[in-house]
Amino acid sequence: MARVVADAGGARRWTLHLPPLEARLVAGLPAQLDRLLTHPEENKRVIERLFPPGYADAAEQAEHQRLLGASLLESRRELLDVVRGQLAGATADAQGLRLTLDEPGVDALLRFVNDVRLVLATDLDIRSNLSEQTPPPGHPDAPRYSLLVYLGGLEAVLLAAITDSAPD
Amino acid sequence: MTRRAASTVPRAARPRTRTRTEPAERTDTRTARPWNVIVWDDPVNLMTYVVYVFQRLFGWDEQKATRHMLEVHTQGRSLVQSVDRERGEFFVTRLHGYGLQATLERADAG
Repeated sequence: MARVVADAGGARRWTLHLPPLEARLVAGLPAQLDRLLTHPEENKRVIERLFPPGYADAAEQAEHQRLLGASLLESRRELLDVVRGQLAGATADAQGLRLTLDEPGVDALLRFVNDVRLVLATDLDIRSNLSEQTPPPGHPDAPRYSLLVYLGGLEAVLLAAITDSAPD
Repeated sequence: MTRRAASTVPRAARPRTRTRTEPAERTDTRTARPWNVIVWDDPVNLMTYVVYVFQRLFGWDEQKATRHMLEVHTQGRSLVQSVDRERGEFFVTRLHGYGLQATLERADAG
């Protein structure tokens, strides 16, 4: 399982260790999210979850979208670029990947992992607590559900690191 | 929200590249009347993540951030800021950037 180790010396820097299987899994996620952002018209439900309305009023929302829609999409692309850079700069060996992260780096990775979880949950139509919707083994949704649960664990590990608390 | 324990986090918001249109270009009349930023419940975001986001964006201590997170979780929504409209849009946009569901509404909307 992924683990995060704080750098010695007091600087707010961490090393994220991803075992080989998890490293391959995580390394493929930016491209998948990028495909969704590149073809928003084909992924409306997911896009609506990543970019929810800022106003309940339809006219206000239309104006908000007109003014900010493009920049919101661009900010998500910038986040993908940051994560791609982190993965490209990681050290790879037989034990997997080691990513050295500063505080903004952990924050960016957290937001990225959370985005992927939101995409998966929307795709799986999760409407209540995850534990209440576990598909049985062999169900077509089981692999995506497992990924969703795994990414929740990775997010918890990153949160514990950046908040100086023990993962739960 | 998915249940996780809460914890502390220092405030060090990452600068964002913002290319939004300046308020002066808007066609509506802006007033100083307060607008409410509301965060809505979501079955996916971890509780600890929501606490983290509140602390990071609003500079709240753990206790206040946890109180609002629990309000979202138990009551479905929490009023997290009452500010002018531009500031409210900034917060809503940042909250969306972290994957939280948030909306802006007039304080006197009832």
